[in-house]
Amino acid sequence: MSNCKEFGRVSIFATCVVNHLFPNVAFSVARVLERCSVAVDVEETQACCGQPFFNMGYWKDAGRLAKKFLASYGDTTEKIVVPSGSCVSMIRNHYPQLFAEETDLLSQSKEIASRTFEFTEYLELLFENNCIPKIDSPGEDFHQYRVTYHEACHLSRELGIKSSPRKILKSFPRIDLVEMDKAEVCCGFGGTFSVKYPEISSAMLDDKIESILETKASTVTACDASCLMNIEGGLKKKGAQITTLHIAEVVDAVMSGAVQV
Amino acid sequence: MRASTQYFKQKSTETLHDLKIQENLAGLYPGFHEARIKASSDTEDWDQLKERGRRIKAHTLDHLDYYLELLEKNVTNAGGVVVFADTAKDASEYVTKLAKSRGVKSVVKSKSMLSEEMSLNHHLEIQGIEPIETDLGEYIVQLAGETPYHIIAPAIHKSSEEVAALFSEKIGTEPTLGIEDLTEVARKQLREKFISADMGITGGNFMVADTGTLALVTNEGNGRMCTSMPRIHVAIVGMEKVIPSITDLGLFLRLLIRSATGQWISSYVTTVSGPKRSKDIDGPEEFHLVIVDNGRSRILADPVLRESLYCLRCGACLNACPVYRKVGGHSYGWVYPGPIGAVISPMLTGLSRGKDLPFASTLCGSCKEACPVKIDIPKMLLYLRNQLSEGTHYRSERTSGLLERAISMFCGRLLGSQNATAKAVKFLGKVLKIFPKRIFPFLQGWTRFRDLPEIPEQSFIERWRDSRHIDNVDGGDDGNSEK
Repeated sequence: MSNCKEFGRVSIFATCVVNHLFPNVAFSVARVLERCSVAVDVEETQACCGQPFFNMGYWKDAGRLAKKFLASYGDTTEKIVVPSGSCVSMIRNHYPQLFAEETDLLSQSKEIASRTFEFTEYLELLFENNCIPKIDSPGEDFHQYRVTYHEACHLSRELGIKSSPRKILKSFPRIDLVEMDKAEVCCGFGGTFSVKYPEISSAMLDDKIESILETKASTVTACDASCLMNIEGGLKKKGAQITTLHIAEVVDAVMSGAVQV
Repeated sequence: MRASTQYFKQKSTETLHDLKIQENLAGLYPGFHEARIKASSDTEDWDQLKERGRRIKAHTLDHLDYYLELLEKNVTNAGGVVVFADTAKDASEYVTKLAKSRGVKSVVKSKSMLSEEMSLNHHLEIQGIEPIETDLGEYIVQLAGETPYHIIAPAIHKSSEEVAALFSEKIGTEPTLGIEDLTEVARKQLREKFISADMGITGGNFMVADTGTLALVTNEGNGRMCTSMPRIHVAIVGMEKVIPSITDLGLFLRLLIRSATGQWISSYVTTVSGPKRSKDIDGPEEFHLVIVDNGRSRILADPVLRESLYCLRCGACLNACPVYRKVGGHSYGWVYPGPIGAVISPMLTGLSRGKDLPFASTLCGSCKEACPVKIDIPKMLLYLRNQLSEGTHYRSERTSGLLERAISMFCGRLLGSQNATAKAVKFLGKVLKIFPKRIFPFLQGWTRFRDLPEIPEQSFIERWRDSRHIDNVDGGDDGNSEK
């Protein structure tokens, strides 16, 4: 673990959805990183990246939130780890549009974006540098989690992260990754789309749920809590017995299990 | 075609409840969509081809006046007549007047979405001229009195059983015919029309400026018959269809055909340069090229939306779109459905009327990924949302109300403070425990189809403040590691 020093310290940007609705996800991110000997900071002024407002067309409100984000992270030099591909894409791909006419903020946003990582993107860096603690073989009669993976849209198509999450999941012997049909197809969430067009959204969700159920997995995971909120909401409404976990929670669980074995 | 883009919500809901259409739409993913993915991944340097296509389109639109003039010159030199029409109405008038003056009784038409913009069939009919659609899908749609459902597959929403019933009703065939027999019936019907028609009307997939050539892509050969059998050939094309050189045509055919159907080449690629020459044994006596603007200049003038004019009309974004695959073509309320339609239909027919279309997307990015000229459709949808909400470029067409803007501002301020948000979320959590969820109308959109997540007692930041700065790796006591 010689190269791991450079990964020394990161700051977690939890995102508003995780911070307020799924705090366990952020704790899992923290624990996983700490197991890899990465120290974790949390900026307490962090808020929302502004994406919901940007997507609704209210770019002034989005811009105000984006400025707050820059204020929270502008003074640090730490890498920022985010358990959401969608929010990272906002910071990386859409902030430049919001700050197109404000040169200073634009360059600051680009500097911050260059050290902002989606959780699995960062974890893969740790993997590549052998900074993941060696997990002992869990023995012969260990329980394997049958996990299926939903490919969140912005993660996959705006950040181009398709293989990292799968690679990470496959690296744990405790996880049996079962690919679902049409894993890359949107779950129908789309932020306010889900309430503006609930029928279309739920028709899309029904397809996703069908793909999930076909896998007979006990857990469905993804890299975005908001997609999972949608999927979980639909699964529960239908009374399906499938656990919905953010990928950080899955990794956290297998890592802690492995430590105990 | 009159736009009814304002009925998107209503029409999409109807489509969602039409189980037959849902079944037919479900075929798009394993059909066209997967065929495109296979064809493009089998093609060497596909990404570079896309990038080249995109650059040529960008260049052409940046010098559109030059290329249109070059095209006009070369078509004229080849003996054709070139007409520029500002509006769909102007274009229809030219075509109908021409038909009347030449004593045309019947017209055979090859598939053209632009002719739908013009409502050309309607204009011909009121002049007593019979227009016959000769593309099988268009023929079906015409018999049914409908409009196309998809840019390249107009009758994709109909099963073969439905087509058999339609033929039985309109032509008098057996109601149990299979696809092959139905095609045979259509072929017989159309053959006579081809022979007797006085005028052929086609669209154009590409107009080649340096040779004055019209290129047509079909799988049924009907386009070739429309351009060669009747004594007059009229081609109607949008002004963005021009490409600089015949040396670019191969690239664009590859991009278009692979993206449209997943074929490496369509059954027919027809190129036409002017009417019959003195030594030719057949071909039309007259060739007219009508180049139509009909609002495209408005798109051209917008630096963000301009790239929507790169569109090759391959339909790949429709097939890739999970929303289109649910709501189908007619919900969009005008000629062009799907992701590209959500951009250009409102721009060509009124932004405020079509305000629901840019929002009818999850911004999943599948359209951008599928597009053979890399049109950034999500970016344009976001831009249009912004214009509708608070933009200044189309101020008179802005639709957001004061209340909506106030709500956005309030929520923006709230989410700007994570302390305030935490308080609000906690309050909501308490309220939801006391009162039944159904009394909150703003939650209905969510709760009709999904359960709400359980609202935690404390936010992450609050718990972090309380419990953290623990150095012990496994010391987190949030009860989360048990599965």
